[in-house]
Amino acid sequence: MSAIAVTTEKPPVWRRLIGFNLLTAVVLGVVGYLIGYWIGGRINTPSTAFFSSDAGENDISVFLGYGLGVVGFLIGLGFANYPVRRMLGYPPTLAEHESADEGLGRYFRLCTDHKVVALQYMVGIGFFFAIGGLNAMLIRTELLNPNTHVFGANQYLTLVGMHGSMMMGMMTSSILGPFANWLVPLMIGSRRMAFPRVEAFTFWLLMAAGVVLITTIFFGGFQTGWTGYQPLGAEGTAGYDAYIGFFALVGISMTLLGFNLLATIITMRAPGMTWTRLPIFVWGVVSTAILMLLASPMLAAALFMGAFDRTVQTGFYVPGVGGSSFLWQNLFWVFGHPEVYIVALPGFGIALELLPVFCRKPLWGYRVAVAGMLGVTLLSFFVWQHHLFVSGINADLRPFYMLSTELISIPTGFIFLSAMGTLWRGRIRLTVPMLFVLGWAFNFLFGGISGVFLSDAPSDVTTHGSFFSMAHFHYTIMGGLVFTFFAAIYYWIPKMTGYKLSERLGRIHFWSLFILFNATFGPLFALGFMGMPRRVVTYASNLQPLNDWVSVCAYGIGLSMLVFLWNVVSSLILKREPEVANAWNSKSPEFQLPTPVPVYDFERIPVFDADPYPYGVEPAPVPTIAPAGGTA
Amino acid sequence: MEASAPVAPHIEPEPREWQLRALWVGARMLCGAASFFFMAFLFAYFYLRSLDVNKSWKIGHVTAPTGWGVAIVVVLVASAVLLRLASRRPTSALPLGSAALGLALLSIVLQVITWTTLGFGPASGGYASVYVGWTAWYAVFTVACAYWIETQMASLWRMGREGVKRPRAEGVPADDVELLGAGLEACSFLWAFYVALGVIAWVVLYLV
Amino acid sequence: MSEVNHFRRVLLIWLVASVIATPLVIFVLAPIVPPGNGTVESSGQVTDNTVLFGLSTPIALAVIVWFLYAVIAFRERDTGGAVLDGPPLRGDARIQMWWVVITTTIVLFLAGYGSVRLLSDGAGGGQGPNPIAAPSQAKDPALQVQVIAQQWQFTYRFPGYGGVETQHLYIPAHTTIEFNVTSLDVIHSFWAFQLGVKADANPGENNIAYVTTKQPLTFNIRCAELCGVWHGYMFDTGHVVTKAQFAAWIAVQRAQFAPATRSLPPYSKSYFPDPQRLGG
Repeated sequence: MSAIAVTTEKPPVWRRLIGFNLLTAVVLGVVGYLIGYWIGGRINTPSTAFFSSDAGENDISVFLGYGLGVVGFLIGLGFANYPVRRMLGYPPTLAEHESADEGLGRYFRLCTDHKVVALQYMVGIGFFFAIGGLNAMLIRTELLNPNTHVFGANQYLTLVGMHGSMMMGMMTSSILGPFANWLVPLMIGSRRMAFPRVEAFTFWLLMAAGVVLITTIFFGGFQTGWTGYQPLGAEGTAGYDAYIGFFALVGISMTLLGFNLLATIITMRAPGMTWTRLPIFVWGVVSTAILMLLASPMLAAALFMGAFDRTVQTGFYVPGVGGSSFLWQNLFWVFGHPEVYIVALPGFGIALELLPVFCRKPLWGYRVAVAGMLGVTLLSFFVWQHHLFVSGINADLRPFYMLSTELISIPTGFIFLSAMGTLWRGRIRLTVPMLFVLGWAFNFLFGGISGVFLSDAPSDVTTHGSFFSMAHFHYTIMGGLVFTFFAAIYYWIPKMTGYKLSERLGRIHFWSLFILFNATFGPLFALGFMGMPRRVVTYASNLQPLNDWVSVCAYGIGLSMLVFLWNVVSSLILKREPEVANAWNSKSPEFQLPTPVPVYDFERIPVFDADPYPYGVEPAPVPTIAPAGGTA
Repeated sequence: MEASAPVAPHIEPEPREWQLRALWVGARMLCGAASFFFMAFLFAYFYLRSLDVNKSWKIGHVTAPTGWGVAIVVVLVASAVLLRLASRRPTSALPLGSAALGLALLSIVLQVITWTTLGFGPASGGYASVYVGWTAWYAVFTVACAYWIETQMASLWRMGREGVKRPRAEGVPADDVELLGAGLEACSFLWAFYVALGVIAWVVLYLV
Repeated sequence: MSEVNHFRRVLLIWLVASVIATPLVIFVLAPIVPPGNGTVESSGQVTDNTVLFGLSTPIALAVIVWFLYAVIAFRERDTGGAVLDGPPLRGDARIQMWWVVITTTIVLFLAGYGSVRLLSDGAGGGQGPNPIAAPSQAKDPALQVQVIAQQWQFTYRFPGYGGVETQHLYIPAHTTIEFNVTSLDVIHSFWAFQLGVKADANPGENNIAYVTTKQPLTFNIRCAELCGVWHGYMFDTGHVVTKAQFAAWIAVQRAQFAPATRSLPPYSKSYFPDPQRLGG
């Protein structure tokens, strides 16, 4: 290749804005919404007599509006281009907007470079996480005083529902989206995902979903919380349609994300990357992806049934016409329980992936850890009725579900065994990522133990539906996943962006978050035992001091997150101090590549021939991927 | 580094069989996802029937339109068989596959006719709700499968007209012919599995 | 420091910590954790929670002691120098086996113990329309009380007293009560805190929970399942009173509400207020 100086004149800014990008997508999304809403208005009128709907909101309009709005959004990004070309018979292609020459513009388009999609996910999920967190601050503000109300009752419940939905919808993809998309191709030596356009699709669909959820406030909000119980949902305002739309889109995004990751890991491992050599992070991704692929469709089906109840007046969840409130409860939790393991398993993967690096030892009990993850995956489909112990389910079932739920703590314990073994006799460095991993261990321990309380049916009678179960899942999800999310950020962002993050600010962030997190959610266990139900806007006055303490500490968590945000802004945008290629001395494949990682990842397909954690071995084996990006 | 355009390094192309295997595995996994989606409706059917809340499993005169049901399922099974045959016989793949596509679209037309001539509405109890919900979403995903079948047929047609491209184009992982063969196999497997799910639905909704 | 020394140290620290903490938890903390001993079922829950607390304490301490010890004892002192690796330990079949055996034993014990407790008297939880665990020592035949939940109030119906429906709950002491919980609209949950009773109220369904009262007491009733905008205000105060007081109270209620009782639908385990209650 000759090196000819080519100067291409970039077209003016306004010219570059025309095309398939986010701006076009937003415009077409709004147009699509208006068209859908109008069609819905035309449909409902003649069929009013047929469907005998009452004169409430026109849910058909809302659903069609959302549907066509999302379609318009996707068309505007260019997702229809390839399908149309395929329908005309043109052969399949892979790459779109992958050239690094396009600079920042790639991040606002359909780009099939897995590293770009990962960073898009990072920013997008971060944005919605911040909204969910703000909702939490507002909830705690309302709970400062049982008698003085900051928000109307409906507003408060909508805040509660938005907080839960935003967090559960977004955080499920918080590791697989940003980190698995970036890391898995590098860790298995594949350079790309099996279906790159699907990868980009899952991201943009998730963003559309987040916007749909926020629009609930324009339709009166929803009063059911993130669990969407029926028939309360069927009788509620049209804001519940936003809830359905949100989780339907999230469900599709999750199904396809899991599908893509599994296809990639199963079929595109480089030579020598056998299942027994897979980094434990990738095993975490595999176990999560299985759940995403299989559990999310069930949620979608349950939601569609609810949508039919609200539009064409079927009676899935309405007892008067042959439906049952139990149907929703069962369908939702059949999804809901695997869902919480979707949130927990990536955290396991991250914690166990980072421990060898900062203990300078191989992962202890690799096979036990893998067995633990797969055991959790399998068992998670058989435990869901522990959410329904006092709901009036068949009493004979309760001992079985008690047993299955207790059993799931055994494979979960394997993760701790592996972690504890890796720490033992290591040469431990307490870097910021390592601190977050240790924080995960502490928090998840208490989350897990409180789960044992809840899995015990007699104890569950005391604590079900109270702040105790709130504390339990915040300890496992926030104390677990969110802490490992930050561990992953501090560990991999310097590699992904090429810039250092401030260690000082990182330590301040960790300690403030760890202390304030425990100060906020620890007392919730006590509040639950003392009889405070969930999702209430008022409570017994003797519980006010404890609630005030919790609210103030929650504000502190918000401040701690601002420290993190300042770290991101000052380090990655303002200072931009370059980071070396392998700041952590990790022996993992992605750290053997130069920083920033080239668009094509590595020149030659690697050949793996060593254990993924070659620490403590003399002489150290030559890394499979040489720093220049070729194979060693 | 020079100030001019950087020299592109020689990037080793990925192994041929990756994308072919990905199509194979992908089709099977989509079968899993589809199974779980419709399992929810299967559960709803038996659950609501056993509960018979307010004696409203069937409100008024609710009977399954058995004639139409048989027609739809026959058309679907024929379509699946034809498409699977198409994937095994490259020479007659286009006519066989196009017939399969036509039958798939016909099944949707038949289902729409069935809905408009039902003796009951969606509000006529638990059975009616499950019937409407299940068949509606089955039809929606049938459209998606039909799209996939259509793309395979379109590629076959265009390849027949323009000939196969060799050497393979930039950014394409494998030969056109190999990819198309793998795509057709994956598509026909998924369609066959999906029709099997439809047969189960037919048994439950019409026969049980 | 040799391997054995470290492990023995950890074991020692853990033993000392457990010996101090576990009795404190069992005898000081657990007894004061609600719901207290007001009824047989609530006492059962306290016992159950005590067992759980007592088991969790040494387990939690084991993990915490291990982590803290490791992070302190095996910390890299010379962070500025060359990055040295630790020993390449990848696993130990015996340790893994013992871990599996110990954790499985604990888990199976808890599942078994919980089942025994659950099946002995139902633990105050809702058991659906066909309960399998009624209190074995029923004091007098069980008094049937129907709890009707609606947005946003509980009412109580007494089939044995002419089907009168009252606005507040009074139940007699030293009696086994059979709560039949149902709803008129959406899912609620009847949580009688000091009684140790929690049973969801589902529309069109019956959910039975048992409680055997002891001495007279006052208890809080709260709705424990989000049921709409005023869910937070769906609470009440109930009373366990002597049998004589109860008889007097119910007689007054019957007389007072006699006209209303006549126009109520007949007593049934579930109600469907509007035959065509359609969603949307």
